[in-house]
Amino acid sequence: MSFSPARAACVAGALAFLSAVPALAQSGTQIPDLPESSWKPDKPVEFVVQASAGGGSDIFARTMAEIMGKHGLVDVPVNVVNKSGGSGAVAYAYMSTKKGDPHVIATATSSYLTTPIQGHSPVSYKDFINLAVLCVEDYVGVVNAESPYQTLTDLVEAARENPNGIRIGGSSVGSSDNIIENRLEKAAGIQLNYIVFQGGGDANAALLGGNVDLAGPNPSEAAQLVEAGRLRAIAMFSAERLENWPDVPTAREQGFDVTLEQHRGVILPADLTDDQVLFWQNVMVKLFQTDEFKKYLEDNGLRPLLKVGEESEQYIAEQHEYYKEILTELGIAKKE
Amino acid sequence: MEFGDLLLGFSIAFTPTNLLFAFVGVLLGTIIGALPGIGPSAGVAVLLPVTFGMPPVTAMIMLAGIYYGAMYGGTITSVLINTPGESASVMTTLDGYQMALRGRAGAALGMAAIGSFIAGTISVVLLMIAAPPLADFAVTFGPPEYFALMVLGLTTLASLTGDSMLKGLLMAVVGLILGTIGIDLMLGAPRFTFDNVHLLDGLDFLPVAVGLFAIGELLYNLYRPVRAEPIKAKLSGLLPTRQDWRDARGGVARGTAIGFFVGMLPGAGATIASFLAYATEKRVSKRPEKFGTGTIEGVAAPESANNAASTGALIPLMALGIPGSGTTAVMLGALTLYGMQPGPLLMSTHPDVFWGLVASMYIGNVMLLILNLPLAPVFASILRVPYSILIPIIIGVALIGVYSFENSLFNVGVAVVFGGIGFVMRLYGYPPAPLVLALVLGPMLERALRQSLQMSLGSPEIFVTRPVSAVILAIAAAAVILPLVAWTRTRLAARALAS
Repeated sequence: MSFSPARAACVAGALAFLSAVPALAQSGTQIPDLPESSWKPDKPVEFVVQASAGGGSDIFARTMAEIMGKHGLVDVPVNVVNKSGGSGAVAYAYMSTKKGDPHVIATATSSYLTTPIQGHSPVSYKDFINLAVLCVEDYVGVVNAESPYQTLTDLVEAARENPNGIRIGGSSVGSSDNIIENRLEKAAGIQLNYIVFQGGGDANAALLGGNVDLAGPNPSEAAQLVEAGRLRAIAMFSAERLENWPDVPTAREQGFDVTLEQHRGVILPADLTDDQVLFWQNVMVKLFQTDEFKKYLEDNGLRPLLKVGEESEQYIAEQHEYYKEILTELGIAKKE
Repeated sequence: MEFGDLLLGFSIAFTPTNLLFAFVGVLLGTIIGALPGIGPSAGVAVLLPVTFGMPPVTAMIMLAGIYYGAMYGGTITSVLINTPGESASVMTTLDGYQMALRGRAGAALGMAAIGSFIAGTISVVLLMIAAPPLADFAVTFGPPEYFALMVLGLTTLASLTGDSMLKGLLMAVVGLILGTIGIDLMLGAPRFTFDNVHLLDGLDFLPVAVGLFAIGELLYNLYRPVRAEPIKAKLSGLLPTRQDWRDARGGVARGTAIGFFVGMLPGAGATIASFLAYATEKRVSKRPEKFGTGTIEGVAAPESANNAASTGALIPLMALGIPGSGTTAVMLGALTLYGMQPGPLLMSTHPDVFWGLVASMYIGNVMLLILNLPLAPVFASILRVPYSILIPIIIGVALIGVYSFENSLFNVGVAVVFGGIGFVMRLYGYPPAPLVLALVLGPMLERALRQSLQMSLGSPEIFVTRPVSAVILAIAAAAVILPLVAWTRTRLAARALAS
């Protein structure tokens, strides 16, 4: 299950001009046909979450753990354990000590890739089996409802006239909203003023209070504030318009090629047998097809995207190259 | 608000299940608050899975109960063993523990319960009648205003603790330095982490507090027993007296107002609220020199403030879907888990959840008063247990709490190391409170400062051109200058008299 660096480089080359993200967005519902595994867990499984309880990754893990039990996909207890800290560094450092142990799995999202790129983690995606990708989250550009900017074009025009005059509130350096800011600056040839708040909630508060002009949360984070007429969605940073947000044009439609999605997936420790990996692949594929998981995706505004095995490894490697390029441009990637 | 809404709320809150879980919540909250090493946000996070399968309103009632219950419970260890159970209780140690040493632990605990009840109830009324407009006001507070607020907090720090201002300030500076550990917010560069992944998020309050207060105190006692004999006091004399109430009522009122206001600001929170309440009380007091020696208002004000703040923090959560503290962030996640979209429409799309929660908080505060007032003498009598037995138990529990917060053995190590440091500090009379407060406030101050300067592209004018921040900074300046002026005047007068 290892992934050669040579191949990663090849993939990266192929993707340099093809924006990695939209090309993959369409192929989410292919259900692979896997043989049954002869191995199964014989003691309780530890499901490590790299974030604290109540957050997006935690809800993801707890939903999956419940489905695994309810549908008998795993007939031993699955215990969710939060190991937050260091934007994933703590959890994945812990996972790397579990080599060869098939009774521990972990959630992974963009921090799984961006934290090592920034040099904050001793381990990277190459130290694990990238078992599966299950869904992706989009990003939406929102402004205060009283803002003069009706469209992304309005905002870009204003930024052209007043470089650094438009403030964008984000959650941390190297995070998705920082990446959106960078891509938008590049696509439109403008300079924005990125201000770091702690977490999306604080950025939303700053937007409501008029302290920043733009924010880039997940659609689910902004849905109610938009619906209540407090915020206005001016652009979707996805390849195509979202089903639930048919009236919000994409950035691309407005002439700015800015797309970003964040995956949610599951990883395994390295050095497992093929049979053990096959077992977990089966669990992921079956879990993906349950009604409960579909409801979870819908409730949280997530798009289904199933990748297992080689497909998952490839997707992760592509995402890694994509993030690496941007973080290098932002000047926060660790030099090799 | 309509009267019918509240009736709906009470009809939901008074169902046997919801009453039971409100009780379970406040009871667990009291315990979590009392245990050093487990704060309310960790408590809510750890117990979150327990609420799965409950109806959303029941789950929220229980989680909120844990939250404000923890503010009641946080008093107990602060008063009895000088160890704050959560950061909002640090101020309570200053006068509360002194009261305990004089055999007045029951009065301190009782007054804290009464103050908390009054503060909690008034805050629920405000939450009920004015959540949306208050939330709109709270979000207008931007980084410059938070910066001003943190400056105000830190300028009052020096006057607060210990006999030596120099030692207090020195400890505050150490706290500020320790607060810089972790990933730099604006640039993403790790600071003082020595390639240790556990330091990337900086030092947590809880392990440091457990080390400095509980373990440091234990080591000191081994070295030089403070209290060989357990405190002997009659149980009957353990409740607050009429005189206590007269002394404390102003503090309760001011603490409630400050706590509620500061608590509802998403970037501030209960710690700074309790801090400002104590500082205000000392400033308006006719006997400021008595603060730190066991004044009842020094307990009542911060305890009222942290309770009011925990309810205030629910305002941006319920009215806008914006969490105002670590604990409300977990509660926001909980709402999402139950399939609800937190935000401004929650009150109209799920009136049962909002009004059920509000009504349950009236009931929960009454439960806490009934629970805590008679229990104050009982808790206080814990001090009759010999110190040598009590403290090891507390430390065992505290270390388990520290571990369970993030399942991190590293944090246990932090607690032990700070235990050694705490012992040395105790030996030479350096107060731990300014250190842990600066550790909590420092990163908030730095964040607000750098966000503000980023907003203004480097110009410090932003702090004075924005009216609210200008006013707060002026108050902070006055807080530094006025005592200096008064001091110089007395000095001059004394000199004139002498010559």
